[in-house]
Amino acid sequence: MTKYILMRSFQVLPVLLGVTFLVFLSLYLLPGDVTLNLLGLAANEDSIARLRAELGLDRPFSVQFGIWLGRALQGDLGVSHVMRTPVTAVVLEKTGNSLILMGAGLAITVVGAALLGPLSAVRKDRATDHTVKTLTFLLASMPAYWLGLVLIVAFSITLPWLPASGMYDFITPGGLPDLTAHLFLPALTTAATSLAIVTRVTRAAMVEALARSHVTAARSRGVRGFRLLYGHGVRAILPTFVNICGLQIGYLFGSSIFTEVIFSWPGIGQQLYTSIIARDGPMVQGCVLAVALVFVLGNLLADILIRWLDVHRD
Amino acid sequence: MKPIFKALTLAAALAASTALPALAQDKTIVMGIEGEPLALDPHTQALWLTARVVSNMYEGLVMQDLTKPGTKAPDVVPALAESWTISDDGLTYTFKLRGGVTFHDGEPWNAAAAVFNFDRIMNREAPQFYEKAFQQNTWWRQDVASYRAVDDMTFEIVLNTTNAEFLLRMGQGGIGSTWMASPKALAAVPNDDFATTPVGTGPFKFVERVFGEKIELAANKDYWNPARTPQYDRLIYRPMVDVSSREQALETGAIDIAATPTPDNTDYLESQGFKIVTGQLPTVYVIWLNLREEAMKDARVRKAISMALDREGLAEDLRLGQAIPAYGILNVGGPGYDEGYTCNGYDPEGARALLAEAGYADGLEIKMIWTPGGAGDVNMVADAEWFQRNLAEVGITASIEVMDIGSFFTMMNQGMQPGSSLLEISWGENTFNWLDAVLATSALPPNGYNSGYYENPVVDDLLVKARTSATKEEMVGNLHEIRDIICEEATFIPTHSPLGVVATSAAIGNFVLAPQHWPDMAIVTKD
Amino acid sequence: MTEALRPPLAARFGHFARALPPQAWVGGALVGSFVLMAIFADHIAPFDPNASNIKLRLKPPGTEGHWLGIDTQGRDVLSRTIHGARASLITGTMPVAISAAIAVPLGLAAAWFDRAGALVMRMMDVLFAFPMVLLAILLAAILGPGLPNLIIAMVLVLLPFNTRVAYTEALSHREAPWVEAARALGTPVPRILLREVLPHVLAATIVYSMTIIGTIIITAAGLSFLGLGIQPPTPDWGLMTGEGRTVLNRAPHVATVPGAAIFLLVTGFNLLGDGLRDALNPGRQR
Repeated sequence: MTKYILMRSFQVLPVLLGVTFLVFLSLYLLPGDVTLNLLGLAANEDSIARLRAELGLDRPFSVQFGIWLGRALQGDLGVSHVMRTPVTAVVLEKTGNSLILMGAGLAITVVGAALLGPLSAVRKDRATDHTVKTLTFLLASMPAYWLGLVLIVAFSITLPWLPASGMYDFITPGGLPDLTAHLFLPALTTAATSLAIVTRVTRAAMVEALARSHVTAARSRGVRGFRLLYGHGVRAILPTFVNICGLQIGYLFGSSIFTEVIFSWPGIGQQLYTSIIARDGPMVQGCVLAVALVFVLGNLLADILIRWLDVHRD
Repeated sequence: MKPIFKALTLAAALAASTALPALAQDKTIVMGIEGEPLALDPHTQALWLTARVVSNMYEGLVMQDLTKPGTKAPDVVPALAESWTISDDGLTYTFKLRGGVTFHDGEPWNAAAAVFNFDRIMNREAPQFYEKAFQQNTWWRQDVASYRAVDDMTFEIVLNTTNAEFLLRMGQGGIGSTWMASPKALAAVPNDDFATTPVGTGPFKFVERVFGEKIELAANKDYWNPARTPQYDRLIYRPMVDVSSREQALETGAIDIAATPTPDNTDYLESQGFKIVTGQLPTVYVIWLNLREEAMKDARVRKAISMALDREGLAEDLRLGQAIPAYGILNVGGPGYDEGYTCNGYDPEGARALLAEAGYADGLEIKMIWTPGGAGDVNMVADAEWFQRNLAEVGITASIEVMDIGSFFTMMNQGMQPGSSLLEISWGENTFNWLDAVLATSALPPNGYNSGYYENPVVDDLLVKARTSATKEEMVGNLHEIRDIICEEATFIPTHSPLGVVATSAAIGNFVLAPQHWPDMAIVTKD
Repeated sequence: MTEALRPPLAARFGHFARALPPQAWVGGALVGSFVLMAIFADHIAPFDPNASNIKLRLKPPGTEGHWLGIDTQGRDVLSRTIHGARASLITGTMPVAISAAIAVPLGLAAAWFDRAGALVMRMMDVLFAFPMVLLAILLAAILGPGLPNLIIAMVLVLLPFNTRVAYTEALSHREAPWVEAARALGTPVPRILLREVLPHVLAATIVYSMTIIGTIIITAAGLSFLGLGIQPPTPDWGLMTGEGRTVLNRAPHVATVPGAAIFLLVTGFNLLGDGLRDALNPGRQR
């Protein structure tokens, strides 16, 4: 097991290196130049050249990448060209905010799917099953940016129940309850697609598991209802469940960028988007690295968990 | 399924009820702004958004009186200088500094502090010299020959040439400034880091900045000017790029002031009990024409484009009265602005005739480059579509390419590419220094923003004359000549000037939008 | 001998049309009606999608002559939504088709030549290490806005997925008995690839493509929603949703109507895609 973890962790490194290299390269190719945004009216050939030299943008690509990589390995992601502030601090903060959002999304997904999937499987081909199937199907086809707007119209405008922007209310900084209120709609928006996918896969796996011999045997022994479901069925589908949940990290990231934009959630996706627009190289790099790290580590964790479940299966 | 849904609604209701405002001990004003300000360094500030925050914490020798709306540049008033004298030749400015003023860190304000700040910007020998500040302040620095502390509380500036606007330029911010920072605080950190620990003399002190979330300031209760000592405790700026988020946050009470709501929502917000404050911004939208394009070389085509545009319709119907038509290159709120001035106005018939005369009776295809912009305006792409329909009326088929603001400025600095016929962006200040970066031959790409390759030695000459004029009358005379040449040639086509619009809760009072890119937040009140 | 061992592919396709579940037909009908809408947009739409009557701006759905209301610039939302079908169908199908056309030969080659194949797939792994939507945003920003660049960005984003599908399918047939047999008979490699493996890879790619179109439509419209894709005033559902967001509290129809159109079209494609997949893999019940 330890060997497996080490081996998988080791495989992650070249992938991360590749990602950062590709992003560095793409930034190099990105049209537009941060110096012009910074200098504004004061931009002329001389001032641009001086500022480019100051920011190290005049050096060859390989040198720039080398310097960046060397510092990144020590946890220093450089200084934002636009904000003049250390990137690491901003990226950590924003990644934290995104993780709150995605964590809540994942929680909704896991809990929702763990309830709806088996329920639907047990009631296979009955009304409940059809309702769940239809619902998840529709959810899976919904663009996050549309669902988010519909939720705002419904629960922020028509029924003014929940806030629709930011993480906190600065007039009355209200701690956790305040955060929860702000988190509700964005988390729901972020989770929708994943909830649909995981529920459908869980249902299918459960249908299969319930048809297996040891489950039918248990059923014939008189084991019924939730004991049957969660005692026998769940154990059988757990690896599938963990696997499909692990795969959701990508989807959650994908919808969270739209969610962050719509709900003004100060997360890493929105930071990445605005940094690209501002041509803030070090910030884009930092954000991309953070996203790739979370993504890769999340998948790694899921893999290890599946492996562990595999090993510890009786 | 049913119980789950019940539980969810219950949780939502619970969460919502706990979010209800508790009684706040101190009075806080939260303003939702259109984006993230850049570095909060007075000497390298860029973007109006940055100036909005920085102007609360810093002051110059003089400042502007931002308590009255209007269309003329706000008056210059004493600030860190109590009074000043200008020598008869107009070259020596002697400032009598205000006594008893301290920076937020307790350091005293005096002539040595003024020299320290000027050294940071323009003395390459000084340890605190900051290259970026040097570059950002060319617009006033170029005329300064020397400066010195005459005595502890007297500061003198000697110019190379007369400059009728010099005093105004001392009070300006936005793109660099001479606003004064604490020498002790400046010396304590590397120049690049100073933006994270601002220390000035203004009515607000810096508290904290969390990127993407807030910039928090606290009232400076020891401020020297009782008339501008804030009557509340905290001022929080909250970057909210998305206009609908700002409006919804205002409606739910999460913010007190929302910058730039959409024109479509202002009546609605008013009907909901919110206040709408408007004021003329010192800016003008101008079309740059690519004078290297074959069709654009023909003055008849350029005039036809100007005559095709229904500026009045745009101001009234598209922007719902939140803009005024513009015909001259001199912006409202700047020197030489004339309200009644018109030039090549709306005349589709005439435009068609001119196009036919120029050989484009069968139509003309052009490409317009646009940007949704940075902040302060929400309607820009809709403007493009409006003009596109106007141009179609006279037989010009225009396609629109929208660039993000970063690419857009790069393109402007590198000049318009072949195939691009025109671009539009808003520009303008209380001073006219922006014209140097737009009209002059010295600003041809890549040395400025003369992106349509305009070359006219007469205008170059007039720009220098205007800047070095001894009197305001002389300066305005030169500027009017420039304006009339541009009108006659139709080499640049001004279109409209947007109003600044802000929505506030009913509790907010005395919020004024003077013709400047930043409001005076110190005089705002909250019940 | 080889003929006998090869699964009757043609027969499978014939059989599969009958095996299509009813939902697939619903999906097909939905997609079909959007395709018809796109083709005949000029005839169906009551107004020119770019014609503006500024006095009527933001009139709600139900306004006489304008069933779905008016947008921020005085344009008919229904007409723009009808015309918007074009952009979404193009941005949904073109990248899928182009990337499949590149991925199939790439996947085949990768499966056949061990070392090179492993290398190609390793390189693709790097692209998998980044969420698709964020990758698309980065690419769209680099390439700049506009329809052609949007399509290129989506092709690049899709390529690793498509290549992996083709690679996996080709690999599974490499050791299949009928391929082994062909090889034993001395059939040249290109011919084996072309005649024995390609049809299966193609089938797998088509099924995969059908299931992914919905996601691609959502992502491409999402880029336009953020202002990185289709440019105004072209009627595009993503762009319209983005524009309508500014008047959400006053006139929610401007943003939600085109968004609902995306939802419907994607539902159609997903029903069709799922149906196709189920029909081709009868073992996999969902």
